[in-house]
Amino acid sequence: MENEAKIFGKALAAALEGKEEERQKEIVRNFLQVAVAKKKEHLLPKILKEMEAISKEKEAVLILARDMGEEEVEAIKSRLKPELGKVDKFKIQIDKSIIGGFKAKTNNVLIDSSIKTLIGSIRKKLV
Amino acid sequence: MEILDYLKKEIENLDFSSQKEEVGQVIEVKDGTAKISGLLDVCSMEIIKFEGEEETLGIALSLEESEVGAIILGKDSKIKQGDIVKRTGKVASVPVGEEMIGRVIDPLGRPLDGKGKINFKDSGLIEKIGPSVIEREPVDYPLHTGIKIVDSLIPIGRGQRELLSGDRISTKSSLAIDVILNQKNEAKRPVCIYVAIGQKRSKLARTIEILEKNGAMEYTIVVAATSSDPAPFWYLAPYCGAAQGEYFMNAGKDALVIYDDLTKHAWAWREVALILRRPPGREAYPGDIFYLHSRLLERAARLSKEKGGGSLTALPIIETQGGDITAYIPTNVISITDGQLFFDAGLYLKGQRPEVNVGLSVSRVGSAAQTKAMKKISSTLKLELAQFKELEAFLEFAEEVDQETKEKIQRGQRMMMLLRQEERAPLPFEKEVLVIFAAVKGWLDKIELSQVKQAENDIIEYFESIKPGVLKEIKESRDISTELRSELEKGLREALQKYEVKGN
Repeated sequence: MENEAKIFGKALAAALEGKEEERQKEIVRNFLQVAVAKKKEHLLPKILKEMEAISKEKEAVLILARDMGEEEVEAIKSRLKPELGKVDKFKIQIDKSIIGGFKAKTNNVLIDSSIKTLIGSIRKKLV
Repeated sequence: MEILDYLKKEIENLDFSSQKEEVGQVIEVKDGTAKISGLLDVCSMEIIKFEGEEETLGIALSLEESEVGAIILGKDSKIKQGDIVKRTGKVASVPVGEEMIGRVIDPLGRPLDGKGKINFKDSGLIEKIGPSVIEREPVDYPLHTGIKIVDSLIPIGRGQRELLSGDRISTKSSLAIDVILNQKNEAKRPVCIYVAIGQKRSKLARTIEILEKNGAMEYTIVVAATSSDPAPFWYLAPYCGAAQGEYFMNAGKDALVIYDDLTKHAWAWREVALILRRPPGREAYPGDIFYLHSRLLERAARLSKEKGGGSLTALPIIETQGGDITAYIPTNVISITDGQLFFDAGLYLKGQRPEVNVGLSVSRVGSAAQTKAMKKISSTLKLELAQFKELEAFLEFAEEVDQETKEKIQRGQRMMMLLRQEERAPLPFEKEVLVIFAAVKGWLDKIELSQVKQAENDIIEYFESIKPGVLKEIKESRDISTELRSELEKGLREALQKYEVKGN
């Protein structure tokens, strides 16, 4: 019953969204009670996985060449948000190999504005 | 300076804006296939790009809820977990056109013959649904194979699908190559496409050499996925061949495609499907194994006049085990095709070549396309061979049967002898008509069995050198008129003079 775990996971994620921490804890406690009452404890690992996948969908990785100031990063983020849809969390990674610019990646979309890719495309043109 | 200007221009034209691309990530790679997360909007059969150490292409095949299963068209050793995969938005296609003729290509249309890049103009879809009912027309023009037994008894028409099936030892491939060789001097010569699936490279090299030596490469395309290529290439090869043929069919020309062989194609698809974790069915083949072949062979057709009147004839080859044509894959393909040539290992061992079993072989549409000349003589041939088969059991007591039976057996034996044919010696249509005419009219009856082949050669030689007009007329009129018949009889009498003396 893979689907069952998915439905539970989605329901829980929807219930938790936008709630305060105290309230969230309460919801999780209630959820566990419901799960035990319905004898669905064995699904908990799968539900956890599903929750992780859902949170991943909302997360994007922002790859920068070097540490930038808070302001600059915020500017990039606010420009990217409408492009990336559901995303509301950015994980910042530093990768010197991209030389400059940035790359933003979610599960399904890649926005590439790095110097490395640009040089690569010049190389392709010339060779 | 010119180079500098050129560089400057190129760099000025570069697109510096950032690009939004749909991507996924490789989860796992195994045996020529990959599982990918992401790629949410990818289409089935879309080409995708693996951006690993080297850029490798793939085709998305299984679209699941959260994953995509794809085949890798290249080395899978260069692809790592976590590599980025990009969509291309293109459905799998291959280069097609006149430029491909004479070339040896892989299933992606890349040259394998070392003759340089192919400058193609058109491309054809690898997966395409065949022409609709309205676009088709009944088969009405013969495809002469140059094999006496086939052209007279199991005739093939252009646009037909005729299966060649038989055991491993039989001469199926060899006959198929002879068919290609015979097209060289045919009227309305079809473009031939030979698809080699899972063959040894040495065997393929030999085949290409034969085609080149006989000048057949000038109208032939070879599509090759050899033993050492991964299963996805085997799987794609016949569809690539069909795409090549379709180009010529849609251009109003004729094309002939040989799939050698579809047993290995089915194996390759089974391998890919099992690794992609599709549920196995009978003999571990996936559920769509019938559709795999039916959609391929449906692409063969004779198009209507409005569509240009082109045709694509398909000769799929299937290898049987121990002569069992009731196995899974053979029955599947038999039910799809318009008939089959069954190669009998027993006949092969008796020395009958090509070892086509006339009783088990049929052609469901080809007789409509037979020429008048061939029709006139083949009906007698068919009848007399059938009678001979019935009497064959009495062969050992030939001395004790009545005169009439004895004569029938003798004629049957001579006909069977006449229908034997060496490899690489396809006979043009007019010569086939000539020698079969001689046999059914009883001209060979009085010749010793061991001399029948010699007599056949003498007849052909005589008409070639002394009466070439007769051959030409058969070729052009495609009929035997009354005047022509008396000409033929006169010629035969002279050609066979020396045997008459020796005989009765």
